[in-house]
Amino acid sequence: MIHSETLLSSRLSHRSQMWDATGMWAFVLHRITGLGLVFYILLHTILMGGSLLSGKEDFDATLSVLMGNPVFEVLDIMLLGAVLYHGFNGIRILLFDMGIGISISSQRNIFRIFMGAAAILWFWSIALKLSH
Amino acid sequence: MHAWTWFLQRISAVILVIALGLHIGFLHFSNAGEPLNYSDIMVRLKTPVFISLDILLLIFGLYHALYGLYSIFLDFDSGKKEKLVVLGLLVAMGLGFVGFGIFGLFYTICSL
Repeated sequence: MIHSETLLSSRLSHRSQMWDATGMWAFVLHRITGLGLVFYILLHTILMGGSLLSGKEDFDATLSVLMGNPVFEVLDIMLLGAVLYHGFNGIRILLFDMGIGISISSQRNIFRIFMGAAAILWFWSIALKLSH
Repeated sequence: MHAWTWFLQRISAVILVIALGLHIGFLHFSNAGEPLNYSDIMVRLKTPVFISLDILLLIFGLYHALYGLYSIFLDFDSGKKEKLVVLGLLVAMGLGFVGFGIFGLFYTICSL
C-alpha cells in the first residue's frame, strides 16, 4: 500500500501533472458545486419557509416568479446540473471509500460512466422542461 | 469526534441521493411548466410521507451542507480557537435553519 503522504508529496512536486488528473478536476468541481448548493439550500429554506409562513397570496406570488421567469428557469437548469454532478460524483466517492474500484483506471471509468448518466438525466430534464 | 461526523456526512449523502431525487422528481417534474401553487403544497402537507421527506431533507441537507463548509474550512489549517468558533457558528446556523424550516412546516400544517 502506498502511503498517502508520499503519494501527495510526489504529486505536489509535479503540479501540472496534478492538474491534469481527472480526479483533481472532479475534486475541484465537487467543491464548486458544493459551495453553490450550500448557498442554494440556505436561500431555499428561508424563501420557502418564509413564503409558506406569510400565506397563500405571498406563496403563489413567489412561486409564479420563481417558476415563470426565464432567468429563474435557466438558473433552475444550472441548479439541476450542479445537483446531478455533485450527486453522481458523490456516489463515486462513497464507492471509493468502501473500497470499490479504487485503481486509477477503474476510477477513470467509473467517473466517465457516472458523468454520462448525469448528462443523460440532465438533458432529459431540460427536454422535459422545454416541452411544457 | 471527527470520525463519526465524517461518517454522518456519508450517511447524509446516501439519504440525500434518494430523498433529493424524490424531492426534485415530485415537486418539480410532476407538474413542470405551470407554477406550483399553494394548494398543491397543501395537498402534499396533508400526507405524512411528504412531511417526513421535507424534515429529512431539512436535517440531512443542512447537515451535509454545513459539514461540507466546515471541511473546506479545515483545509485551511486554522488554529484550535478558530476551529471552535467556526464550528459553533455552523452548529448554531444549522439548528436555526432546521428549526425555522420545521416551524414553517408545522405552522402551515396546523393552520390547515
